[in-house]
Formats: sequence, structure tokens, C-alpha cells
Amino acid sequence: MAPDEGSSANLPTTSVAASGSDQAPPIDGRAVWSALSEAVAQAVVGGEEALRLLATALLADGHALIEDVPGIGKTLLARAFARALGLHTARIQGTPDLLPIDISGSSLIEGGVFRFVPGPVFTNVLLVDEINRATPRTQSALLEAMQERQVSVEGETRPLPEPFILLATQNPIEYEGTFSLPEAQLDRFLVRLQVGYPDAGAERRIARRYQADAEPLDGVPRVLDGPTALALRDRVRRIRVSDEVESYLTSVVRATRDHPDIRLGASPRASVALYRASQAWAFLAGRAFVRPDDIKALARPVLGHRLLIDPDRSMRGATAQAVVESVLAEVPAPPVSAVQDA
Amino acid sequence: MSEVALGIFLVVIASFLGVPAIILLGLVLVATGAVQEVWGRRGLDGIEYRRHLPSPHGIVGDEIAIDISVWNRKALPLAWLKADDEAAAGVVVRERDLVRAESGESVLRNAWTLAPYERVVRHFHVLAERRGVYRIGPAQLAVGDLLARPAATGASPGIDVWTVRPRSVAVRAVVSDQRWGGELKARRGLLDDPTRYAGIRPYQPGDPLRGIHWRATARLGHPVSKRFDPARQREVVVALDIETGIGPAGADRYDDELVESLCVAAASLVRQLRAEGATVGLAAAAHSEGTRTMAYVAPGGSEGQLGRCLDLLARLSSFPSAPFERLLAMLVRSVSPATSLVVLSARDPSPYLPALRGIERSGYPVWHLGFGPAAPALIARARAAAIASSPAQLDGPWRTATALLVGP
Amino acid sequence: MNRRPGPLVTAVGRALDVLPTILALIAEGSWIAVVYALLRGASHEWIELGPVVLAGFAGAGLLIGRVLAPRLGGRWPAWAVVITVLAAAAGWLNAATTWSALLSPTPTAALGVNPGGWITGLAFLRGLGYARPSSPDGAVRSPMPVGLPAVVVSFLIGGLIAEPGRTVFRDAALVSTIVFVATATLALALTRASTLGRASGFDWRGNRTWFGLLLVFVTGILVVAVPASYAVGPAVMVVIAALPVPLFFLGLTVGLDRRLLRVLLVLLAVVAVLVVIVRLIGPHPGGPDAGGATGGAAGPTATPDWLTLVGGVFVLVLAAIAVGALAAIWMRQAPAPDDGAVAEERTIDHGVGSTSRTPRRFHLRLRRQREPTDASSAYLATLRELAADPPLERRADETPAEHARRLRSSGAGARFGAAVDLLAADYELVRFGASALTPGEHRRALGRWRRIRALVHRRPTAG
Repeated sequence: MAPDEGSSANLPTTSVAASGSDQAPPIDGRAVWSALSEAVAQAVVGGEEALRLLATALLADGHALIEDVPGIGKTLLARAFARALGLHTARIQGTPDLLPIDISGSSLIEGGVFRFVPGPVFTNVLLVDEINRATPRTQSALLEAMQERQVSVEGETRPLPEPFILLATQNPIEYEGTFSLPEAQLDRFLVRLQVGYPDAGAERRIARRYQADAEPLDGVPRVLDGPTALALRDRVRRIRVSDEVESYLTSVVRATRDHPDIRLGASPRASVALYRASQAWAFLAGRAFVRPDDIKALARPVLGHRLLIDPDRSMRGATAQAVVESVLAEVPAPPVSAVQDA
Repeated sequence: MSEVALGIFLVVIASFLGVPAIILLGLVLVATGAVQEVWGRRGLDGIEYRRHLPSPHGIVGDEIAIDISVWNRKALPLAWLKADDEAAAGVVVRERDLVRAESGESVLRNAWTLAPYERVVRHFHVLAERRGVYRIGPAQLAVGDLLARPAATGASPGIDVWTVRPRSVAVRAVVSDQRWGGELKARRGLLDDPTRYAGIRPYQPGDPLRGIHWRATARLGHPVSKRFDPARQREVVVALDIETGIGPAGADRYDDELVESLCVAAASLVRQLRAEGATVGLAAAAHSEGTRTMAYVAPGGSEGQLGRCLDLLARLSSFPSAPFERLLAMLVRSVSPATSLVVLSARDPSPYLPALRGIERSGYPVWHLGFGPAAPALIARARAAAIASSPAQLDGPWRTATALLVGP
Repeated sequence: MNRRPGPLVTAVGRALDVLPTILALIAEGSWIAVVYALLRGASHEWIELGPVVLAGFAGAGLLIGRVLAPRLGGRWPAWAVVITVLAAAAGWLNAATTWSALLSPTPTAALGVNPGGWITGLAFLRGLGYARPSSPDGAVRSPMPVGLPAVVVSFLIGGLIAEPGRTVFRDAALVSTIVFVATATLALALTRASTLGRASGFDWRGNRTWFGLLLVFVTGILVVAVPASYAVGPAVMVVIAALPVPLFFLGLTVGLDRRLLRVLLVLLAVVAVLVVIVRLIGPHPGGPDAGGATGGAAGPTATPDWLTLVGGVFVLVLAAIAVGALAAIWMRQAPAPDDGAVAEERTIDHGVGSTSRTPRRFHLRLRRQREPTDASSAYLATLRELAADPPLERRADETPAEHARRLRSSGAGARFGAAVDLLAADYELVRFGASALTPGEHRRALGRWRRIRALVHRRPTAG
């Protein structure tokens, strides 16, 4: 667990540094995305959609859960992303005997006095591999860190460094010896994403890449640093969401609560998550405003893991993803009733 | 002789004989033959035939929607297009009776008259009358020409499959203590639960290195190991004895009603256990897919576990594939120590009681549920062998029952 | 939701229901009329029964069969024979010669008079066949398998009749043949479609394109094939007679391979067989028709009664148009076909670039609406224009960009998909991004709207 120190290499950080004022010079989100994707592409073939969602989570001040079958490159993607961010990174391997103090840290007696040794959670990018292999108690220990950006150890609350993003991976098909993430914790992940299998061409490139002796991650340049990332977040918060789009967003979230297949719909926290994620998504596309398309693109990764399917419907094959699809197909997108509008 | 050839022959003959009327008939035959040729070559061009099954799962008693759409993507109108969808045995379509095709297969027959570029969607409902895995397709297509005569045939190879899962009903336990879900006391074989950290204790020779608490060891200056509370939550496997007492194992004679009732009871138990948060699995000595003789879903606590167990029950053959004792022996080798075993059986337990006793002695809590009309006799035999046993009974026929009553 | 059809539509629907059977009965009457004409012509008697009367006998057979067969049960076959004999007798008695023979001192001689009259019994018998319910395997009763050989054989035999009987036969039989061709073809198609439709759940009356094309095909055959039947004969003979010589020389030039040799031999064999046939049964000088024969194997001998012919074809074309009109009335106002309990949706979908008919007045009404003044309203106005055409219309769940993308990737929509895309982008900038566009951008957006409107209104429609 070595900190990855470094400064941003490819971004116009000077312009970002001035972004605190209202008249901040515009930052081209596309340049951010382009630099990030090029950097990660040095190690990862394909997975562009997943990477964009990771970047969205970072810029929207959220966390990401990468869920896919083994061997698909989840961990590699997360590591390459973390490295490209140029932020302090730590990695935890989820195991049943991993204890909360293994994450948060504990005090040691040194020279008769207790000295707090911070755990891996005190980092900018925390990569938790196979999170569902950790016990519920350990998983719960991450809750406070994810939501409050602080850790309470031995009665003392310690803030986490900014920015802080948790990237967790889990394998959805292996169930033995795993502990499903509780709904409360799932809700704290801004996005849940899949990497997906590469296409034939990408798979050939992957095989070729591993013929070389060099570690692919070594070639990933650092394109961001902490202050830049925070400045970008600040910029993302000011991406415009019009009334029409806002109304569409809330309609989509609310429609999940009325869906017949759902026992528990998306919470207001989901609305906030979708709002912020869509701002980040628009920013990465180089826009200063959110389009309904952004909401549609993000509805699946942002809402999918927050829905609880009715057991009876589940027995009949209903899935959260299908519910999101059906909600998107039912909720009218703006401009609503365009013919009467003008 | 083809129509065109016959027509040409008539034209030639009539030309020699000087009979315009026969020439007229010959020309008509040539024209109708040509029409048949055109529709024969082009009739199936641009035909898009699709079935759409919104959900591939259903419960016994459901109606599963299935849409059949056909699209004539060309400028040629079709007097008719007929599609025979091969249907597996047991498929019942609410709106239409299946017919016997020339090949002897049972088919869902549809026919449409199609204008150019016309798309027609028909909405059918398949009745899920019995558990099982059903399929429909491939479809044999035939089109008629302008004169509605058969002109061309083809095939649409797609197959749609759906699973009809057994019903599950509420479980009403009349027993005073909650016996499943890992609450049974094991005589031995208790394991530490790594999720229940209880502190540290001095290191003892034989402790695994993985169990050493290195930080505390460093702090205290002597080796200490992590201490955990014993496991309270255990895995539960429902072992379904599919044999209904008619014929030996492997014989395909069975009491159909009793088998279906057993499946409903097993589904209800699994559902109840999942609802209580137990890590549950299902096993049966029956065919489920391929040539495997044991049907088994390993214990799991994930969201999809109930579905996997129900799918297994849906696929389960109605007759045993191997003696139940062999399944019990396999389970002992497969499951984690201290896993609770719930045996659901509707026949005399005497043949497998020794196996159950052995399993229990090995540290696996066993609970026998005597099912069916002979339940009192069954549980008496099990109890006589010191196996915890209770009667279990549906409160009605398996199609309409609303509860599984588990007695004391 | 199905409309309740009016009485006219109900009546038309019923008429169209029985149309295949009526056509089949007329076709039966027609081919039997050809055989009748042969019998009458052979005995040098005038034609007294036409296709309509004989179709009437067939119809009577159908009605009586349907009414009496279920009531008489096992006794029906015997009764059927009796009624058929009575029907045949009615035809036999429908001639002055029969009555005069009956009233003569030797009434038994009347049995040899008017042999063609008995043919009404055949018409009645054929009609009885239609009274049986249709076969469960979808096989249909058609006048074609029996009628076509009967007509051909009648004409072949008719060539042997001495004049003036031969002319009488040919004049009468030609019209019957034309009626037979038209009605038998239509009856075959409609009966097949009806039978299969009943068994499998569709109604041919809902497919106006197929029905229209069928009518065009049948009338086209009549209009083209009837005159052609007089022109084709000589042409065919010339071709067949002339073909062996060029083939022979062609063979000598390119070398007679096995295939060409085979073609040549087959051709020569065909010519030889035809010559023999013509010598045996064809008209020849000095034969029974020495008085009236024109030509021999050199070409058609019958001189058509053009007035009758043209009139007959005209009537048939009118009948086809009338049937088409009836069908159109039914199709326009009849409820959606009810296929048992199966819910069904029918659409005309051209896929990429789909088009559909849009009422003209709707366009006019839209044009009267207030015209857009800026980029944002230009986009909304464009949506209104496209809303008139379902495949181009923006679906409720579609975002402006998705809608534009769909149009771009479609056929006809691709022509203005890019313009819609730009308009959508302008709209998003203004409405979602609160951006101010330049006057030039507003002007260009309005220009795009005008182009799209022009394209939408100029597009071909399909129904």
C-alpha cells in the first residue's frame, strides 16, 4: 500500500486553480475525460463506459461499485483509474477475517503513550477488492467513511482526506462464503457498473499486451492531482440543470416507487445521486448543462442497485434493471407535450 | 407437369388445332403458374417472424405473456402466411388450441393475411399449469401466392424457453421453537464465526497463523490470537426425497399429485428460510438437467438464491434418479460443517434412517419432515430412531393450497 | 376498441362472405355450359341453357343439400339421387323439341331428344358437393380440377363437329370459358383464403392490397389473354415451324453437342406428334365441316363474335370492379377482425423510412397555426409537423437527441434527420443550457424548420 504521489501532467491546472470565483474560466470537461481515458487506456483495453462512470463518481463526490464476473479486469480498471488520478491510493482485499480496525486503524503504545496508526481508509482512493467477502461488520465500518467522510476510532472522530473515493469490486456469481452488501450500504454507492466482456479486437489487444514483460500499470501517467480534482468537483456542481430536466429526473426516480415490481423504490438520496452524477456526466461530455439523455444514461447505474424487487415478482423473473428500463420507457422525456408547448 | 408447362403445351396444341379457347386456358395456366413461381421465389423474402417472451419465468397458475409478431418487409402482398410453432409437451395457450402438424409435432398454428410492409403483433398467454421448463419454436413458415395456393416454405429457427416454478405458500410452524435457519443446537462441530469477533486470547500451539492478531501481538509483546464467538447462523439444506413409494429408485412410476405437493412444500420451505435470512440450499436425488443424477443448489444467501432453488424444483424429474441415501452421503461431503439438514419426505424413512443418524452424529443437525397423508406413521418411525421429526402438510390440494402446516 | 358496423357494412360483409361460393357456383355452371354447348352443337340444336341457368341449378343443389341433408340423415343419399334425376329431367324438359317429341305418337322417342338437357342434373350434383362442410385439413372444393379438363376436352371434341354445329358450339362455349376462367380463378383464391382464415384466425377481407391485386390479375388476364388467344396461335406455329432450321444451322456452325441435338430431336418429335393429332382430330377439307371450315392446321379457324366477346369481358370487368367496391366499403368501415380472443395489432411499417397516409386536412390545419419565430419554437413546430406521421413522430419517452438519431438512421427520415438534430441541439442549448443564440442561428433554425416542413408535405404516402 504505497501512496501514489504525483502532480497532474496533462490538464490545464492553472485555469482550474482559478475556478473558485464566479467568473471562473471554463474548463473543458472533454479535455479532462480525454486525458483520463488516454491514461487509463495504457493499461486497460476497452471499458470506456465503465471508466466514464468511475470518473463521474469521482467528480460527483460519490463512490463506485464495480460488479462483474471474474477475469474481466475490474481490479485492473480500478487500479489504473486510481493511478491516473495521481492521488494517494490504498487497497484492501476483502476477506472474512478482515476486521473494522484493519480498515480504520488502531492505537499502539509507543513509549507509554498511545499513538494512532491510521488504517488504509485514510487515503484519497480506497480500492476494496471483493468487498462482499468482508464480513457485514467490516462492511458497516466503511459506511461512515463513505457517507460522512470521517472515521470514528476509539471515541475520536477523524476526518478523511479530500477527495475521498471508494472503489469496490465484487463478483456477482460467487455466493459461497460471501456476504451480500446490505441495502443501506448499496445505497451509498453512487454508481454500480459492469465492465463487460471485451469485443474480439479488444481481446486480441489484451492478449498481445500481456506478451510484454512490462507491468501495464507502469505505463499509466498521472493526469490529476488532489487540488485539481477538488476544483473539478466545484466546477461540476455549477453545471446547469434546467427545470424541465430536473422535473424529468424526479419523475424517473418517483416512478420507481410506483412500479408494480418494486417493494422499495429509489430513495431521495437516489435523486441527489442522479442529480450530481448527471452534472458530472454532462461535464465530462464538455457541456455546461444537463440533457435528458444524461439522466437516461445514468439511470441504470445509479438507480439499479437501489431498488428492491418484490419477492413474488422476483420469482417471476423481474429484475431491477428491467424496472429501470420500463420506467425510462414510460416517463415522458422533455420537452413534454411539445405540440401544445409553443 | 408444372402449370406453366401444361399451359405451354395447351397453347401449342391449340395453336395447331386453331382453338382460341384452349389457347386462352393455356395462357391462363401460364399466368397462374408464373404467379406461383414469383411468390414461390419471393414470398418469404423480407419476412420477419419473432416471438417475444417478456419474462422467462412464471409460477404455476400464472399466465405468461408471449407476443408473436410477423412483418412482411416487401411490396408483395401475401394472401396468407402460416407459422407452425413447435410446442413442447405441456404447453397450453389460452387463446388457441394447439394442433397436430403433418410431422406429428404439436404446434401453435397462426396464419395472417399480410399487405405490403404490414406488421401484425398477436398477444398470446401461455398457461403455466405445471412446473417445468417449456419451449416453443422453431417455427415452420409457409406462404400462399396471389391465388392463395401454397407457394413457399421456410423455417424460423429461434426457440423461446420459459421456466414454470412451483408455487410457494406461507409456512405456518406449529412448533414452539424455531428449528430451522441455523437455530438447531449441534451436538458438536461448532465453528468460529469470523463475523463475530470477540476479542483476543493468548496464542496456543496449533492456532493458525492467519488467526494471530499481529497488531495486538506487537502491542502486548507476546503472541495473541483472535477470538470469535461460535457460529450462530448456519447453512440449511433442504433435502427433498422425491420418491413417493411406488416402485424402486430409478423407476419412472410415481404419485404425481404427491410429487407436486412435495415440490410446493419444498419451495415454501426454501422461501421461508430465505425470508428469515438463512443461507439455504436445496438437494434432491432426481434428474434436473443433462445426465446428472443429483440435483443440487449449494447453500447461498444472495438475492438470486431463491430463484435458483425454485428453478431446480421446476426442472426436477418426478421420479428419483438414485437412492436417497446416496444423496445424503453426497451432501455430507459437500456442505460446510454444522449445516442444518431439513429432510422432506413422503415415504417410509426406514431405508435412510441409519444414514440420517450417521449424519447427525457427524455434527449436522437433522430435522425430518414427514409429508403427506401417512405423515404420522412416518414421523413415528423417525422419532423412534431418535431423529427430530415433525409432520408437514399443505392445507389443500397443491394447486390451491395457501399454507404449509408444520406440526409439532 | 371495435366499432359497431352499420347495416350496410353488415350486409356487404355477408355478401363478401358468400362471394367465394357464388363464384364457384358460377364457374361450375360455366364449364358445364361448355359441355352442354358441345352436346347441343353435336346434335345441331340451338343453345338454350347458359352459364347462369346452370349455375342456378348448382346453387339449387347447394341450398337443397344444406337444408335437407341434415334433416334426412341416412336417407339423404337416396333422396339426393331422386332430386338429381328430377333436376336432370327439368333440364331435359326445358326444350321445345323434347315436348314435341313427348306429344308425338311415339313419346319414347323423346328420350333420344335433347340429350344436353340432362346436363342440369350434373350441375345440380356439383352444387350438392358444395353443401358439405369444408374439409378439416384445409383442402378446398374448386371447380378448376374438373372444369379445366372438361373444357379442354370439349373444345377438342368440338373441333370434330360438323358445321354449323361447330360454330354454334364455339360461339357459345367461348363466353362460358371466359366466365369460367374469371370466376374459377377468383373462387379458388377466395375459397382458399377463407378456409385457411377460418381455421387459423385471419380474414382475407382485411387485406385490400392482396384483394385488389387479385382483381387486377384476373381482369388483366381477361383483357390481355382473350385477344392474345387469337394472336398467339399463328405466332406459335411460325416459331415452332421455323425453329428447327435455325437450330440445325446453329448446330452445324457451333458443333452439334449432345444437348442441342436433344433439343432438336424433341422439337421434331413435338412437330410430328402435333401433325398426327391435327390429322386425326383437327378440321380438314372434305371433313364434316367442309362447308364452313376456314384454314386447317395453318391457324385458328373460329371467327370470334367480337361483340359478344367484348361485351362479356366488359361485364366481367364491371363485376370485378363492383366486387372491389363492395370490399372497399367493408374494409373501410368494418370492425377490426376478431380472431377469437387473440388481441392483435396491425400496422403498416416500412421500417427505415416508414411512411403512412396522413389526412390532408390535418396538414392544412397545422399550417394555420402560428409560425415559429426563434430556434426553440422552430424545433417545437418541427415536432408538430412530424407528429402527423407516426413513424417520424417523436415518442413520449424519446429525448430530442434520441429522436433525431432515430430519424438520421432511418430511410426517408434520414433526409431531414440532420436538420432535426441541429434543431434539437439549438433547443437544448436554449432551454436546458439557458444559452443565447445569435440572430443568425435563429434564422438558420427557422430555415431548417421550413425545409423539414416542405419535405414532410412532399413525401409520398402509403397506406
